Amino acid sequence: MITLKAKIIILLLAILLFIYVFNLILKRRMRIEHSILWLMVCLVIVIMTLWQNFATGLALLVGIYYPPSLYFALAILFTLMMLFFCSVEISQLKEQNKTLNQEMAIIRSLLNDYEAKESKKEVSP
Amino acid sequence: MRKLVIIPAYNECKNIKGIIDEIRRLYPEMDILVIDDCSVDNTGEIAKKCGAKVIRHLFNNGYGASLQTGYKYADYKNYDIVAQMDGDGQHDPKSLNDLINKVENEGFDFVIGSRFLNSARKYRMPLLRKSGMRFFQLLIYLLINKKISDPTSGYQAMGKRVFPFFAKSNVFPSDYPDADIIVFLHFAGFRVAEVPVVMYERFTGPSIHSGIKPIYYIVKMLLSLLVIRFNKKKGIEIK
Repeated sequence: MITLKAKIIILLLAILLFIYVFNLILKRRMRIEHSILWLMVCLVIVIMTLWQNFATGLALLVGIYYPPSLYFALAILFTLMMLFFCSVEISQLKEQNKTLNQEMAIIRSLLNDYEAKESKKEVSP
Repeated sequence: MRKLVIIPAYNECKNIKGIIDEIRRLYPEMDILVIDDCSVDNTGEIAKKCGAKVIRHLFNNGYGASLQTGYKYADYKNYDIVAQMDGDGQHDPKSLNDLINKVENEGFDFVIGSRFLNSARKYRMPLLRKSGMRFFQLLIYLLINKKISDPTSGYQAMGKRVFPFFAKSNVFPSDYPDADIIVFLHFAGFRVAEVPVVMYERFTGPSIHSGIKPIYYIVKMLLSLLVIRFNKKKGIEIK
């Protein structure tokens, strides 16, 4: 199935990723909401690697007879899901960005009008 | 002392007038600020007509962000004490005095209004929510050795050491600041207290604290508490 060497490498990578993401949260470079999925993925990888029966059982349940295929399928699914969420987030950010741009532009224009009015007042009291 | 009551509101056109009128009647010396989180109804207009200062967000940013806007305003305008309450009618304005008194006269930095310390009233809560709260009560006790009976209460008051800090920091989370904030403040050396307040069960409209994403909330809170504990261990300075 999967050699001990491979298991150790995968476990190490998963743990490293977990620590890295957690560190990003500590330093406030990633928000907790966005990190949750990544941390959960690390945990899932650890569980699936350590608990082979669970992985095999899950594969058969889904109808996949070659368990490693399940790993690939899950990995691809997860990646697609993350990309999907990123698209949603980006869409939201673009919309908010547009709103900020418009409002700031209007405010600046009003401010210029106001300053022009004020300077006119000073010239002709 | 200059006092400001911050009320974050999203689509609370039915409730907001009652709240503002009551505060103005009971505490005419307090200023009221309503943060209209881009409501789709006329919450902002009603609040303005009732005599409150209204700040309207350009787009919906959530409860936590609305509170932070309030803190930024309070800091900019140099208020001494800030109280906050929900805009949905669950928090009785009568209790504002108890909260603010604790800050003004007893020198606490951060005061939480607990619905459970009130022996006169029995606040009913769905079992799931109640057990969730019990769980966080236990966690908080383990972390800071203090019993907080109502850690998720949004009915609070705070002094001049706290809200400017919230205003400037990116520590303040954007959706539901609750138990983790209490732990954080305690670790940072602020004096935290609890007073009994009057709260009502929700009777009109959907709640901001609704149980749509309880699992997500629990996971997020646990993680947040873990991060705060970690940062304390590493002695990371409050930014």
